[in-house]
Amino acid sequence: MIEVENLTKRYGDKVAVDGLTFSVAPGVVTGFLGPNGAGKSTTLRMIAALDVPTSGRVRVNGRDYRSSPAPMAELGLLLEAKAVHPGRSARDHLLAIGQTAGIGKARVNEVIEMVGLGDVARKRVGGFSLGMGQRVGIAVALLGRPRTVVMDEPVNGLDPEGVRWIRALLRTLADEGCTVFYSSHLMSEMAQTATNLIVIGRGRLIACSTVEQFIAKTTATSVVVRSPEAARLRGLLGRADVRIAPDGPDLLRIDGITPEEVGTIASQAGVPVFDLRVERASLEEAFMQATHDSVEYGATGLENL
Amino acid sequence: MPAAATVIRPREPVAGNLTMTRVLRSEWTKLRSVRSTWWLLSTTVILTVGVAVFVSPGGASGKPASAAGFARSTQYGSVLSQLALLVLGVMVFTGEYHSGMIRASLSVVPRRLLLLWGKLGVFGAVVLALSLASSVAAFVLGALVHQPHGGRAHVWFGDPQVTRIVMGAGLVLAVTGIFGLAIGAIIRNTAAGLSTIAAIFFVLPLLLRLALPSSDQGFLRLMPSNAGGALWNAALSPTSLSPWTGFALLCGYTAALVAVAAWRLRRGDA
Repeated sequence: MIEVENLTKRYGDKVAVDGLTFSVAPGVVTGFLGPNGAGKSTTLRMIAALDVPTSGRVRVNGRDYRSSPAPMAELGLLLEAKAVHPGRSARDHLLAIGQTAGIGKARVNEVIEMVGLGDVARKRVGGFSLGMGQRVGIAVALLGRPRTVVMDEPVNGLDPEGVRWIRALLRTLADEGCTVFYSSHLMSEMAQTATNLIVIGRGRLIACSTVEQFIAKTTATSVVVRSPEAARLRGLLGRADVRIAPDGPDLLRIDGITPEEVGTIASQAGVPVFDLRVERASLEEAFMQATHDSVEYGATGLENL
Repeated sequence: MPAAATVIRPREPVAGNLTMTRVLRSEWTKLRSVRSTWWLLSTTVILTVGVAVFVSPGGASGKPASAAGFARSTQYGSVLSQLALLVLGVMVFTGEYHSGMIRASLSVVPRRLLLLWGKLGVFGAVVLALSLASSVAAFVLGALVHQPHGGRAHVWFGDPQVTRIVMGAGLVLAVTGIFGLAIGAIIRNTAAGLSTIAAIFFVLPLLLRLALPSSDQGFLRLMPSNAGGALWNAALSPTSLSPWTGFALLCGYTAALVAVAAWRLRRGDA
């Protein structure tokens, strides 16, 4: 359980996080979405008590993380890949981290095997690829078997199989009752993994809901119809609240109407219909729709390419 | 690549409470598991002992005029080896800031001062043991090589001031290393930390000596390097503090820096 209350972080004049309030429930995977510079990493660092909030507060599993008697049992954190001294082996890195909670070599070896670093655990981390470094970070987050797991961009640098693995890992953790909160800029990835979503832009909360609700609320679903008499059907549907975009000579894409209404109108007028389907926006489109006003670093276009 | 099915976590908790002892153990693992530690520690020993053995203190064999003067001459290597310990001390913290590991460290030690005390405790104990051992070794070997007297040495620990000078040089070496650790904790960047160290220990004393009129040179004895150096002076000189006053001043500087480091670590962002 993570509770964020009125959380604000200022760097001089710049407001990185602006009065955020949300909570992350145990037992489900919650995704954390936002454009670059939205304040995701700052928020995650404040949850782990690494950055000090300008105002507001955070509670992890019901208490201030700094006062946890056993921090590693409460929170497992992955912030940046390869945050390891390059001259140290993965095994010594994990051992040093774990020893602060009395965790010994047996558990370290177990976690190393679990993340698939068994063959390279004694090698110096300096020679690791981004993906291997990411696995070291994931191992650190899981080492203490924490009740809450927070990860910043965990799929970064992982190959497709690694991405599938982390997806399964996050869901398994949630199934076991963990609170799982992770950020990603890969919206398609998040649509497949997360149940709940926290979306922020320019440090402010944009949405806090399930993935499905977020898509439904931020974008209209369209009904697509294929008919040889598309033009006539279009005339029949031409009510003020229905927008029709011709999508090819015999295709209509209609917003603000249910497929049942379209089918009934077509049938009553004797218009043949070959195809009638609902098209839902993807999470990606919903995200763009929800955050386009709050993009901090937007590219301006490709005219000068 | 492990299958997802292998990620079934046993139910019993594995993480215990965060304690000072556990942080000390963790910091020992960190210190021993990088090569630079062993390079710099061996450099310290080799320089301290090597200078005593291979550099002749001058004068012929036989009982020297002053046992204290001879004892001091066996410790000249520590002027060089303090550089290695300063570098190692600075890197205890800056190494973690450079790699980003500090955030991993502080995320499992959210009571941040524990991390500072842990580093201080482990590094302090290691450098204290090593500095005293190498100072004693430098004196013993230096005396046996340069003052042989039928299988023993002319000058030995019972002679006036010898123990204070030999142990003193070791103590100063250790505290200097801790001075470096505190600088690293405050400045957080290896290059900037090393430049600061170089300025404080080498450049500033030299510049001040050149710049100040000779009547104001008394100020120089307050520089950390000179204050510490007083502890292993052979004779009282008007240009330096008395041995224990000097050492107390060096310890005072170091304690003040540690206090600043603690304040900075505790209150800000990691």
